[in-house]
Amino acid sequence: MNQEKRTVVFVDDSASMREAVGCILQQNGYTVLKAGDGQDSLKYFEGTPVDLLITDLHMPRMNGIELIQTLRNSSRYRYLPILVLTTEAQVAQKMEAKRAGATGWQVKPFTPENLMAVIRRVIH
Amino acid sequence: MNQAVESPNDQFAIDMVMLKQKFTEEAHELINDLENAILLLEKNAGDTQQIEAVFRAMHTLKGSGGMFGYHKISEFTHDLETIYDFVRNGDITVTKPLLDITLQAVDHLKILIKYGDDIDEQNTKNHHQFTESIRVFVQKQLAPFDSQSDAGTDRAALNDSNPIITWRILFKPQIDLFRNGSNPLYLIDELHTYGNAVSIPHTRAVPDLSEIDTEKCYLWWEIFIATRQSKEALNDVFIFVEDDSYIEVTKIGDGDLFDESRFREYLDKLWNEQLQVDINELEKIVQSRNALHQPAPAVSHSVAEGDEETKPSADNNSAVTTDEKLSSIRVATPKIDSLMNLVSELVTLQARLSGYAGQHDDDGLTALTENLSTLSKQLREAAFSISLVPFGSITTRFQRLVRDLSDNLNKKTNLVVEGQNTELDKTIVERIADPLMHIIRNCIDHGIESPEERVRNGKSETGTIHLRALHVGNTIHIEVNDDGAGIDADALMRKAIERKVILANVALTHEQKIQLIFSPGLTTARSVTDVSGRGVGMDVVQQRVAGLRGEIRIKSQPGAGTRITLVVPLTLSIIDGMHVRIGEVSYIIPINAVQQIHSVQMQNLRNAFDNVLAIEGEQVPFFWLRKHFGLDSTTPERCEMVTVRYGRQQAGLVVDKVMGEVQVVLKPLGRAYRQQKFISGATVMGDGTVALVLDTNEIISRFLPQKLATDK
Repeated sequence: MNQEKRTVVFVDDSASMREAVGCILQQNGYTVLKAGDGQDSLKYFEGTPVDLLITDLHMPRMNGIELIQTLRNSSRYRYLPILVLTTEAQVAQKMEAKRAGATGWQVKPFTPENLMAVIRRVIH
Repeated sequence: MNQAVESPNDQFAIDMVMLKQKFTEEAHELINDLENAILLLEKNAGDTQQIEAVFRAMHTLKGSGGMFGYHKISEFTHDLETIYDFVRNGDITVTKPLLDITLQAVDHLKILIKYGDDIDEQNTKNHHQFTESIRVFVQKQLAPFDSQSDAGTDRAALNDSNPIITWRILFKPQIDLFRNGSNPLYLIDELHTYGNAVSIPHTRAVPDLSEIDTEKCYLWWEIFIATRQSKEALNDVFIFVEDDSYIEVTKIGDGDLFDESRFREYLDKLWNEQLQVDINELEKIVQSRNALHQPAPAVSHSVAEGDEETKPSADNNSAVTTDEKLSSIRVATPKIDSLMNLVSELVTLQARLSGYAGQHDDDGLTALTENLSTLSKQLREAAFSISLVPFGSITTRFQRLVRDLSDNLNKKTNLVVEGQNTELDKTIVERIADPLMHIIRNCIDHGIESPEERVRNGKSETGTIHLRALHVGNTIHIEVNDDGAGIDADALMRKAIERKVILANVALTHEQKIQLIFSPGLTTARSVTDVSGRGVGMDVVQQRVAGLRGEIRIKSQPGAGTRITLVVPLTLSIIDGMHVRIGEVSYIIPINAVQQIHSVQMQNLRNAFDNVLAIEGEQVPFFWLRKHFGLDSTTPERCEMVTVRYGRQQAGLVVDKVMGEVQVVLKPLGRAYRQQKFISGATVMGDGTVALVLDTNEIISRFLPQKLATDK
C-alpha cells in the first residue's frame, strides 16, 4: 500500500450512500471528496490530483456516463481509474459505462470488504 | 449475498445508526417523489422525465436499501427496477396495471421503511405474496425479452472446504488496455493474495525503446496459482478487463503443485528463458506427482466466459437534466425547534431591554437597543423561514387519495393543486394534512357525482377538485373547491332534527343549514361507504383546525359545488393577541377569536340571568374569568367583556381591563400543566412578567352548553 493518502472522488445522488461510502473509504485511509452529481464533482478535478473516481450512473444534471466521457476527454484524466456503481438489473448500463471508459464496477448493495476488494483491483 | 455494511469494524457499526437514519429520511423523500411521478405518469404515460424519476427512485431504494440493512426493500424493488429499465428504453409502455402495481409497491415500501426487516408476521406474509405477484407480473411483461442476466458479485467468496487446485491463467490484454484506467499489475497482485503464485511476464512483444508508445500495453502474462478459490473467483478478478483481454483459466492439477520441486524448477526455467508453458511438460510433472498421491484427473481446458449479453443501450442524455433541486442540507427537526426557541427567547429579552432603555434616559443604550431590535427582528424572520415548508410537500397523498377513491367509487375526479409553493409552518402542514384528507374524501364521496349523473346534469364527465393554498394577510387560506352536487342543506336539516341536534320548528337560512355540517354526529351519506362514515365527521375536522387556531369556512351551492376554506395562522409560535388583565395577572386572548369589546357595569353582569347578557340585541353568555381562575382580588365597578367566537358560538369573557394588542411568542407550559386545557401556553411580556395565553375555543366548548346559537 502506498504511504501517501490517496484521493477518491465519490459521486452519488443519494446522501446516505455518500455517507456510507465516505465512511468506508476514510477508514481505509483515503481522502474522500463527495459530490451529488457529475456536474458538481467536476470542481474536484481541477485541483489536487485525483487517484480514483467512484460514481453512480443515475444522477440528475450530469449522469455517470457523461461524467466519464468528460474526464476521458481531458488529457489529465485519460487514465484515471473509474469505478461505477450499478445494480444487478443494469447489465446494459454497465456495458455502456465500460464503453464510455469506466475501469470497473461495483454492484450495489455491497459490503465494505467488497468495495475495498474492487478498489484494490484498480489502485493500490 | 446481500450482506449489509455491518462490518467487523466497530467504528463503522456505530456510524450505522446515523447512516440508517439518513437513509430512512432519504427513502421517505424518494418514495414521495416516486408516488408523485407515478401519479403524473398516469396523466401522461409518455412523460420520459417521470419514467426516469421512477426508475431512479427504484434504483436508489434498491441499491441503498441493501447497504443499510433493508434487504426486503432491495429484494422487492429488484423486479420493478428491471421493468422500469425496459420502460425507459422504450421496450415496454406504461400501462394502468403497471402503475397500479407500482402504487401498491409504494404503500408496501412505506411499511418496509418504517419497520425495516423486522416486519410482523402479517406483513411478512404480505411481503412474500406481493413480491411474488410483482415477479409474476414482471415476468409476464418481460416474456418477449427473455433476458435476465445476473452478474453476481460474491462469487469470489472464499470457501475453506474447497480443495486446493493449481491453475494456469493466461492473461493477454489488448494493446490499448490502459485506455480505461486499468492497470494489469493490480489484477496480478490480487491473484497473488489467493495463494501460492508465480507470474511470468512475457516481454517479447515490447518494441525497441525508441518505438515504445507508453500508452500501450505490450506485455502478457502466465500466472500459476495454487488456491482454494473457485474458477469463477479467478475469472472474476479479470471481470473489468475481460472484454479487452484474452483470459484462459486452466486447471493443471489437484493439490498445491508448488510443493513439487520439479514444478518450481520448471517455472524458473520458463521465467529465465521467457518461454510459454508446454502443456505436455506440465502434464508429466502432474502425472509423476499423482503417481505418488492419487489417481490422475484429466487436465481440463476452458476459455474465459466472456460476453455478457448486450442490450441496446439507453439514451441517457435525455430527461435527466431538468429536475435540478435547490441546493440544501438536511437538519434534524429538534435542531430547528431549539433554534426557534432560542430566537424567541432572544426576542423576548430584546423586548425587555427596549422597555428598560425606554425608562432610562441614555442615548447610547437607546441606540444600541434599537440596533439590537432591528437585528433580532431579522434573525427571527430568518429563523422562522427555516421552519417553513411548501404546501406541495403534502399534496402527493391527496393525488393518491383522489385516484384510489375515485376508482373505488367508479367516479372520475381530477385534482388540481395550486399554490404548491406557498410556504407554511412545518407543524401546521403536518397537522393540516389529516383534516384536508377528510375534506377531500368527503368531496369525492358526497360531492362529486357519478359520471352518468354529471353528464345528465350537463357537466363534464370528470369532476374537478381544486386545492389551493394562498397567503392572505397574516394567514394562509387553503381552499378545497369541488364542482360536485353541493351540500344537500335540507337533508342536513332533516338529519339534524332526527338526531335532535336542533328543534324541528326552527327556521334556518341556507347558510345556517350548511353550518349544521359541523355538528357532532351528523352524516348525510345515504349509505355508509367504507370511505366516509369512518367515524370522524366535520366536527372533528373543525376541532383539529381550531387546534391550530384556525377556522373553517364553508360555502355550497346546490348543483354547482362546495368550497371549504381552512384559514390557519402563518405560524403557531408567534401569535397576535389581546392583552387583558384580571387583578395583577396578565392574560392573552388570541386576536383572531376576538369579536368585540364592551365596557360593562359590574352591576349589569351581576343582575344578568343565567350569565347571559344582551348585547346589541344578541344574547351572549359570559364567563367570569376571575371566578374560573380562582383569583380573589377585588372586582372593579366597571369592567370589560371581550366577546370571542368559536365556530358559530360566541361568548363573553369578563376581564378587569383590556390593555391592548400585542404580538407574543407562544411557549408551551411544560409537562406538569399538560392536563390543563384552558391555557394554550404562556409568554413573557415586555416587562418580564409572564402572561398566560387563553384557549378560547376550549373554554367555549367546555362551558357553553351544547346548543346552537341559532337555537333561541
